[in-house]
Amino acid sequence: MTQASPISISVVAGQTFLLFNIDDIKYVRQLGIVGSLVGTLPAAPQQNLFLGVPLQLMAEEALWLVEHGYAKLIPDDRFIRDIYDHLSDSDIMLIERELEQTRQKERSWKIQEHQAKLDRLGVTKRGGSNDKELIEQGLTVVVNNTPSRLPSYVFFKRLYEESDILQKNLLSGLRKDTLSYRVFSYLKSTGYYMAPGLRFGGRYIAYPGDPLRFHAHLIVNCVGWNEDIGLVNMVGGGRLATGVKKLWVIGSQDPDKDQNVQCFSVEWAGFG
Amino acid sequence: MSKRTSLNAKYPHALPVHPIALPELILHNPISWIWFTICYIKSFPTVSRTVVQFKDGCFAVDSPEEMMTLWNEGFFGKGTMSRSEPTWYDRTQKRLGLGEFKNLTIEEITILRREERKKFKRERAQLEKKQKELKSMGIVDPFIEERLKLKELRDKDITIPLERETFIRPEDDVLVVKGHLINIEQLQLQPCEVMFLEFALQSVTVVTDGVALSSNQLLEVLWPTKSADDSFIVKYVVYHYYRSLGWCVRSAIKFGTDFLLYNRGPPFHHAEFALHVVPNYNDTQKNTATAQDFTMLSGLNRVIAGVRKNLVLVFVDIPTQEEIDKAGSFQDILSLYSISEVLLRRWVPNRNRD
Repeated sequence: MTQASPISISVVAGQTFLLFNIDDIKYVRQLGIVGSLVGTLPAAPQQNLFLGVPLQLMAEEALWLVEHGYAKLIPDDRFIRDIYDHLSDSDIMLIERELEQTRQKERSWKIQEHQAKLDRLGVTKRGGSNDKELIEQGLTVVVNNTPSRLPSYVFFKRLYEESDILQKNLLSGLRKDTLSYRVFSYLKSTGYYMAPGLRFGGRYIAYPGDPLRFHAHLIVNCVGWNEDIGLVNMVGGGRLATGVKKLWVIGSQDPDKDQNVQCFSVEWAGFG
Repeated sequence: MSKRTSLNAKYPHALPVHPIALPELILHNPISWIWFTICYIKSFPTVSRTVVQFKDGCFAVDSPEEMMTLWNEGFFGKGTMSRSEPTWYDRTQKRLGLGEFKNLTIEEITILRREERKKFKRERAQLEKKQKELKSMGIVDPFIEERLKLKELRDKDITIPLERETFIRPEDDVLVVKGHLINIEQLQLQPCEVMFLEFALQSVTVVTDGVALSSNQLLEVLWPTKSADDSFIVKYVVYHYYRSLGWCVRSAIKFGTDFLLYNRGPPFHHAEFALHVVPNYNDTQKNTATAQDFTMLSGLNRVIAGVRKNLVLVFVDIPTQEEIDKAGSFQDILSLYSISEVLLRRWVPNRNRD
């Protein structure tokens, strides 16, 4: 159950959360995060049963994992490009300094090497400025084709692995403060397992334990405290839920009072 | 007599309007020509008139005869104490052992059906248990006879019990006056239905506090805002449209949407379509703001598909407010709206292969 370091959730296009590692998937399952497998076999592109890795997480699930320190978000290149566009002058100076440092290191290493070579060959006559030019020519030309050779790689690696600010930025970009996330984490804290509820006309469906062992009990909808539910919607929801032996649940939170999320359930009753 | 002809005889009129009834014309019999002509000249179309009480925002019909008129001729309204047809009086008479034996009401039929179904399921479970036991002993299914019996049980029509069980509750004293049951049920009408009966058929008189309302006064009550996208007018447009195409339109609140379309009426067939009314503005931004999310729509579709109906999204093009304000009569207002339909169906590649 215990994992030394937070697992990595790949964020694709800023809105899709994927887990590619089987061990990570097992780990989050133990934490009560189910997600849905979305991978198909290349040979069967229309496959829609028995899907495999990657595991797609709902935004709420990813947020919950990050917020509780179980995971870190690893953004894709679009996000990095975005950072490039918003780099401040001091950031650029930092990157350039890093670049200069690596160059400097290489230069001194080359000079040492050159000296050693000359010593080995027994050449005592030193060319002075000529040598320097040769060394400068012998420096590696950096081609940005692999991330490890990007001058800024170290900078970015540190940026999104160590910087809490960045993780927070990523989180805030995911609208952590939405009602649906609050309802999610409230139900999660009471021990429910959540899955997307589109099939049942709700935001989530909630299982009392692992979905492999239980049927879902609740169809959860998130409605603003003062928002109109619509009586007709309630009838439809209640009817659907009762038809599939579940409860239709509305989760909400009073914005004026600082209290827990409150849930109300609707059941279809037959008269006569 | 088949079921259909008896229903046709029971519900001859699709609306509370009675066209001229003409006798058969026999070409080689001149007397029939004369009789036909006399009938043609003398008879004229009639409309069954009913009185609707408007009180506390509800439209209701009190008189039992008028209730049945509205139900039998177009299936308008709903009994306040029944599932749809006002049958409370019949059911209560039966329960109290008063009056003569009448046909079963739909509520009673439902109860009987459910009991039969329960019985069938019980028998089936027993048989399956036996089969399983024998299978574990290595004997393969000797129960052909039993299975046939089970099938018969499933397909059997409900048996109508002829003896009546009376059941009297303490509060029934108030209901029976001098050995006669008093009717406390009303037929409740939707605003759309009242407007259609008043405006399109002119077959009702709406009375509030003893004073009859004129057409315009009724419209004032139903549509006080006169705004182009008021839920009353949008729904009425749809109601009127399908009623004028000959469908029997009833509320679909029990399925979480606006209207159900019956081919002729609830006793004839099950409803085939459920309508979901969606206002369609000229302004994309407004459409986006008023649009319902897909989750709700998919849930609704599941409810409708679960009762073997098709969900139809009815888009009502909303005219501008200026056009509404300029229009003179209600008829002119109606002609400003237009309707388009989209049938929504969940399509699963694996299940819809053939």
